[in-house]
Amino acid sequence: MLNKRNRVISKIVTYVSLVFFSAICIFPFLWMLLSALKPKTEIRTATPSLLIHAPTLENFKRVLVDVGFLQYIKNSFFVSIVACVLSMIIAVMAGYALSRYYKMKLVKTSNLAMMLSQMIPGVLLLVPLYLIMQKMQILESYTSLILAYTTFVIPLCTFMMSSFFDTVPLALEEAAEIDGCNKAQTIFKIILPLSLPSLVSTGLYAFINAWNEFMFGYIFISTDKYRTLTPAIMLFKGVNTVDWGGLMAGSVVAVIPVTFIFLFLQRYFLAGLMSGSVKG
Amino acid sequence: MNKFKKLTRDQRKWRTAVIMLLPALVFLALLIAYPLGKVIHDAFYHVHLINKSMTGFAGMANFQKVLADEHFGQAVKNTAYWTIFSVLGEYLVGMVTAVLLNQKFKGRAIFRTCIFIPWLVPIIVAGMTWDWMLNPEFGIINYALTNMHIISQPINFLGDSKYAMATVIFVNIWRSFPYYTISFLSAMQSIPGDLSEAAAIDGAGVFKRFFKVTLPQLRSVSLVIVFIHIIWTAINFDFIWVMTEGGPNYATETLPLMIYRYSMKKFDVGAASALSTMMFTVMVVLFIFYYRKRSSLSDDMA
Amino acid sequence: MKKKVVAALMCLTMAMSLAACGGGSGSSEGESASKGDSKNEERVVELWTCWTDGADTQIAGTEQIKKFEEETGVKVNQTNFTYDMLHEKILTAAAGGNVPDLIWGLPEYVGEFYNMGIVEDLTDRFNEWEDKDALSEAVVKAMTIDDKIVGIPYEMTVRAYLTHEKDITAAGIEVPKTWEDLLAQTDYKEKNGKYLTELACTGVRSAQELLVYLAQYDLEIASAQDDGKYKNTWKDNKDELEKATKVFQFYKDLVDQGIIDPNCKNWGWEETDENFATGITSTYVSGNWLAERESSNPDTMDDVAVSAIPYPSDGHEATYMECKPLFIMADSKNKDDAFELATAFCSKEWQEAGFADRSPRSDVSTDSKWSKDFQALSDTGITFPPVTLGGITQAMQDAMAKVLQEGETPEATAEWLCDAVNASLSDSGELSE
Repeated sequence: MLNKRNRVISKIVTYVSLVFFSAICIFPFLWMLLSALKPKTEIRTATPSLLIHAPTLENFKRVLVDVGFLQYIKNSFFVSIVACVLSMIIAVMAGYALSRYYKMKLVKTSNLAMMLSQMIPGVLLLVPLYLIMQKMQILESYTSLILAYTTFVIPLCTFMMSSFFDTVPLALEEAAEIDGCNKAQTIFKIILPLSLPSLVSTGLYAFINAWNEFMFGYIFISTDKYRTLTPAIMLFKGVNTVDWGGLMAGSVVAVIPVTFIFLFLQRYFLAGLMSGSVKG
Repeated sequence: MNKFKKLTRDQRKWRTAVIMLLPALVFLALLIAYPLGKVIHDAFYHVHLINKSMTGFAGMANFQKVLADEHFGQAVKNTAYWTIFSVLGEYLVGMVTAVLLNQKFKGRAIFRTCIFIPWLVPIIVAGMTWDWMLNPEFGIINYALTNMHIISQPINFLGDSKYAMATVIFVNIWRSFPYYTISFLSAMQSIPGDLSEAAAIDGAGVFKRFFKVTLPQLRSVSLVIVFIHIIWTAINFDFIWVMTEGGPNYATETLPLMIYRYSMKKFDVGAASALSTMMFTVMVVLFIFYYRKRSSLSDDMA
Repeated sequence: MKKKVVAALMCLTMAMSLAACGGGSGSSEGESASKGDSKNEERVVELWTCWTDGADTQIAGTEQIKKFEEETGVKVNQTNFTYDMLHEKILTAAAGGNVPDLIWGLPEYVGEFYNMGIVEDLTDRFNEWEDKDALSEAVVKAMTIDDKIVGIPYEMTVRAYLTHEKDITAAGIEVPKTWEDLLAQTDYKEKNGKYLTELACTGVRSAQELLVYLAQYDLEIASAQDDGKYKNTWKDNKDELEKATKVFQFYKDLVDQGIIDPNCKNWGWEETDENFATGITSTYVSGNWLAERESSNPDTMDDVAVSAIPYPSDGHEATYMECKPLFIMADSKNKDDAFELATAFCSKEWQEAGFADRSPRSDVSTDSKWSKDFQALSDTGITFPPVTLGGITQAMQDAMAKVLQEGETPEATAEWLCDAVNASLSDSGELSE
């Protein structure tokens, strides 16, 4: 009896706290959505309101049709997907080395190098990076963005993967080796399937980081053809007036695709739980 | 394959390690090593974009200039507050939400998506939206709070030096904690379920189970994301810039904003580099501490 | 199964990155080949603008560019940015010498870009330009530094004191003409439930406002000296320091006596313009871009009157004149066509189509209050001195914070600002010794 009552209480506590957190998390996004649906005369008034008298898709139409956000969405997708896959491959490899050979001098040095690379404020990197990209003749191309985004997420992705590999028992690998697997086979057959939740969360990180990045996006790219979403959104902030309708609609347009990706990937987080997880 | 077998075990290990690390190192060498070298070099030289008479070796002059800046002390303090409280808050909220979401109940997927949304919003947009919502004259939050009689006067959250820092930290936590949630959640998924169940059968309460079973399992992942977030928060620029530009009156000025001002507003690249070099050095010291900790943890695991 | 997926993903990435590399290098080759190579038939001008998408300026601009292309055979590659983005891009790109041919600028960039040596001296070209007489002396002066003309103006605005007439009538007062009139309205907020006026205290707008109030006492933030360099002279001259003190006293009084919302300390133009447009405050010093708010806030913006900015009774009228230059970059490979395009921007036709309310040309204006009433004030227009302004505008903001937030005395603040301005000039090598 007592046990059951406890369970009910714990359930209520869970729901109440989750509703609370969700409300805080989602409110700004709702505000964006509402504002994006408001006509010009309602969007910025002295008394803010959650109600819309004359909802309109005008802002979305302007963003998607007149300003050409479809092209920017395409650019963002391309850059983010390539950067994500590229950094995952690199991070799985490096993360494995970091986890399994951490006693080697070379590995220690690489670990240090990766950490150090995170410590310089991006503001100061702009000019040197610009010059590098210029020398490589890849300004005004997807490549410059892909290279930059990949480089800046490699360290965290590597650390995330290596800390996951830390929890995979060595015995598993040794068994595979005895069965005659080589290293590549061991990683692909034994370790990666186990790491699906970690792979997904790390990959998602790489993807979203690229998707939301702003500064490199506008410093490296000057033509509409390669412009990505975030710099495009900021164009609604003019010099003397801010087009809040466009800005909010653009933001909603930028957030929705990643939300769907997240919804889709949730399954893989669940997968770990359903199968009763890994048994060492 | 034959050749491969002739190598000793150690050589083979070394070879594998090199192959595995190579791509990562190539990227870092290409895009990080040179800029980093340039930053450290510039710290000891007079580099000014406008004043062409400022050239040559500067010795410690750039460092002295930065240390003598009247806002330096304040910026160091702000950076510390900003970093510590942001990461602490993110960690706590991330942990709580991860534990909540790691249970079996209806509607879990919806809550998970809601909680994850802030992280999907670009920093720039998040900053501007909050800025608008928090405005004392036409922001919805002050409007709601005064109408519900929770506060009698609108609060100038971002414009009052009493609240500004706390407010930007709050918004930063709002934006960043979901990543902790998702990392903890995915780490918890790989905790053997029977371990927790066994503990439950043994009569361990919710809290005891959390501290005895869950938390130790999250140690490795926590160390990584906390440490990396300390670095990122410390060097983060765009969040504060979008929301307050370091104001009011430098109440939210952190070191990266100072670096930005030196390089992009005052065009004194030398001083900006000196400040970066100092920040960098402090973080390297922190890193060595972390590294020892992590190595010993890996030793435990093995 | 898993292995196959991973292998497929790897292949995909490789292919994609190869494609990206191919695409990237291909396009940059194409660009470098086409960039004003004289052997190449195609003449290209790379143009960076900062207009608002969908506004009249953009619509007219796109049309006029097309026309320009047809008439001259020059291809114009136009890209749009915000001024902040453009500024940062130029600073970054200048280090690599990889800049566009022609850019929209702000007056604040004149000194900075000139001192960096990245803009072209247009004096000779300007003197040969047949349409140059359409520009007033003040406008040409704003384009001039070291006796060299470095820009062609494309837009000119002045600030005016905007008032919501309904509010003023309801309060039963006259539109304030002087500082004293403003300061007399201590019970305005109590009686009318809103503040009479407001101030920007952060961002460029705040420095521009302070510049005007200083100019009403004939004070300059940095004055030209005989050696061609600049200096803030307040501390050398007791009279000037006294006047500067009065300006800061005015700021302090406005807030202390409740004429202005004490929350103004973190406001930039985003807040102040918004407050005025939505009727949260009754009056404000701003520019004629607020005309755009007539359509977004029709209920509150239909009663705006334009007057001169209040001035101290022992001073005189002054206003900020913002004359925006088109710069031709020194590294441009196609300066002739870039100059053609710059002057096309400043032509009567283009100005009437895209900048009718805010043209630098004396022969372009409209009958609306946003044009006529503003233009009437332009004789008293002042500008920033042509020096590197980054450090100076920051110091001006800090000075306001000192008075309004730190409780510093106006006199100490004036002295502090004088030192801070000179320190900034010294940093950029522009301080007269």
